[in-house]
Amino acid sequence: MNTEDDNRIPQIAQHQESPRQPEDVPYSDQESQASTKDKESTSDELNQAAHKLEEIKRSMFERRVKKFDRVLQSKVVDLDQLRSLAWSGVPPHQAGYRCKTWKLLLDYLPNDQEILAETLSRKREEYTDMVEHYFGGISYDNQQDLFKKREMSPYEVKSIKQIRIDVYRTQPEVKLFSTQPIQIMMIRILFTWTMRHPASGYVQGINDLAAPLILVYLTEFLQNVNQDNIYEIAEKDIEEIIPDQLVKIEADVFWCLSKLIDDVQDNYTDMQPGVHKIINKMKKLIEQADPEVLKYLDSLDINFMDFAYRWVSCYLTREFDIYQIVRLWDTYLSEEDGFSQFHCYVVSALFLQFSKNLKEMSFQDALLYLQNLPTQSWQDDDLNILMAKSFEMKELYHNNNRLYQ
Amino acid sequence: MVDNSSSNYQHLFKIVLVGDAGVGKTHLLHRYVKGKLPTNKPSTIGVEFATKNVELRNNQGVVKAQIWDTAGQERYKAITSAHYRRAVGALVVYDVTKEDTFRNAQRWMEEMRASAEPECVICLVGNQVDRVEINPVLRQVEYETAKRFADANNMKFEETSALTNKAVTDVFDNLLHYIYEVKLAQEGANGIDQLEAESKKYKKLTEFTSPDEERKKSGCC
Ligand SMILES: Nc1nc2c(ncn2[C@@H]2O[C@H](COP(=O)(O)OP(=O)(O)OP(=O)(O)O)[C@@H](O)[C@H]2O)c(=O)[nH]1
Ligand SMILES: [Mg+2]
Repeated sequence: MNTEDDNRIPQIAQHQESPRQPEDVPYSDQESQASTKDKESTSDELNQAAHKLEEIKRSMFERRVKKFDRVLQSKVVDLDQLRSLAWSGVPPHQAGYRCKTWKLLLDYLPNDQEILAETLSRKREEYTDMVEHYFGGISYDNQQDLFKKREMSPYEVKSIKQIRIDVYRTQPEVKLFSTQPIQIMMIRILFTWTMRHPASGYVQGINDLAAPLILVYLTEFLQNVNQDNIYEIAEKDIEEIIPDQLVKIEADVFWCLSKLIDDVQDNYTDMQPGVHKIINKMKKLIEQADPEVLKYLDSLDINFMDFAYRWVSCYLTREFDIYQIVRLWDTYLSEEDGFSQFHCYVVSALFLQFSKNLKEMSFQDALLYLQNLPTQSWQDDDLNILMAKSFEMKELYHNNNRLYQ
Repeated sequence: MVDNSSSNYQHLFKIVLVGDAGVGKTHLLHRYVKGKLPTNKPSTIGVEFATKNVELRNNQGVVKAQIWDTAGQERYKAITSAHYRRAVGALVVYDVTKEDTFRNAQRWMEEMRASAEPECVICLVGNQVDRVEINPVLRQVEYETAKRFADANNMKFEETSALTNKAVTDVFDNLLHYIYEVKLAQEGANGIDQLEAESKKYKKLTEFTSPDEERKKSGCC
């Protein structure tokens, strides 16, 4: 961690009292003291400190895992508690935690365990009925035969073409998405969604929203998936999951994707008013925080639409690697209006984090920089800091608004 | 090889890539600018920007091409079409194995003509020709048909493959030359001064010389 990052810790601490303050923000005082040790320290002392830090981190992690255990296993899950726990990231590598958390926070799973099983099987059945209607059955074998079973309208043909092209290009870095069963699954999910949402129809970028859901819901059934091997999940791994189980995963992804998009439907309708709204608010936030950079971009004739459009409409799935996206979405799902409101603070904070580098740049360099942010290599800490800054910005904005009213 | 980052150029041309989703616009551009195929490219959302400096033949100076790659899906037209303005060149791309992408090329062309500079040079590009070279049955748009369509609408025409790099550099380089020639012819023998002046004006608008470069220029030490 560099010193600049450390500077932010006191700021984060200021929000301890806020009602929606996430529990266990992963920067403790101990941590900051350990990493700002005097330069004169002997390497021995440093080693000890590092060791201690590791220990603290481990015990914090274990505490969090226990808390998750308790919350997720109670008869009626306390969603507020779950939100504040999951806000700073669901503990990775605990099969099923994230999967269950996301489904609960998306309001797909009922929080009452008693009606859970019945609700799930009803939803899954409903989905397979739809698939039966559009595809005449469900299988994971042959992509070419997917649509052979009935006559298609021109609108359907057009949608299928577009969906196919995009599914083949989804998360190309992650092997999982180029396996046949997953591509078939994704085509069916997107097509079914399209048929049920005529107001928007399929829009490029919706495939990017399905990908993290598929990954998370699938990894519940895969052994030992972690940050390093997540890119290597291959067809043979998926073949170990029985088709019945794949169908359930598919249904769950479909419903959760639908829920997610329901909140941000107007990102995808004609003229995309939702995206424009977020970008306009983003500009306002930036004007408050750094009016100079806004003026500078204006003088270069660079429009926010030229770079922020993708950030906003794809929910940063194009800017981060999939592991970080999943982590980011933990927070989005834990916020009350994560995708429709909090996202705006995140893209603004992201911009402000990099905008100091813009001030000397030419039109060309600035635009290339903004369109290719160096965020692909981000680690958990980077993302945690961005979340903290976004949270801070949200608080500030709310307070300011209260002030002006 | 011309230095790509330098601001040492005489002309600045804005070029736009349009055409249906999946025809290969992003692959063509990447091939041209980076000299290789992209390894992992998802669909284009909104617009993506790239530049390349190219030396014109016969010592006619260096062109900086500012190229805007656009999203193919109709839904994005509202934002992508804002970039047609001021374009002096465009590639209208279709896929030779998909008839509908060729039919839509007409619409792309018309929209381009409607909002770009009046003298905008348009080149019709039939991409993915490598696939029909391997398997002729895949061809859905005949060369002659496309050529006739291009001629009738005052467009240049070329078949390309981003995969095998067939004609990719030519398409872009030729487009830049055509643009230069059009400008020359249009503005007469002394018009080129005006062209340069305009280029500078646009350059000034869009380019900002960093203090570093400023220092280099004045050659203080
Ligand atoms: N065989 C072959 N495939 C190509 C060629 N050019 C592109 N492709 C493939 O076609 C697909 C789409 O290419 P893109 O360059 O992403 O298409 P695009 O026109 O930019 O699409 P949008 O960004 O959605 O508008 C990719 O999977 C490429 O691998 C080509 O010359 N030959
Ligand atoms: Mg593209």
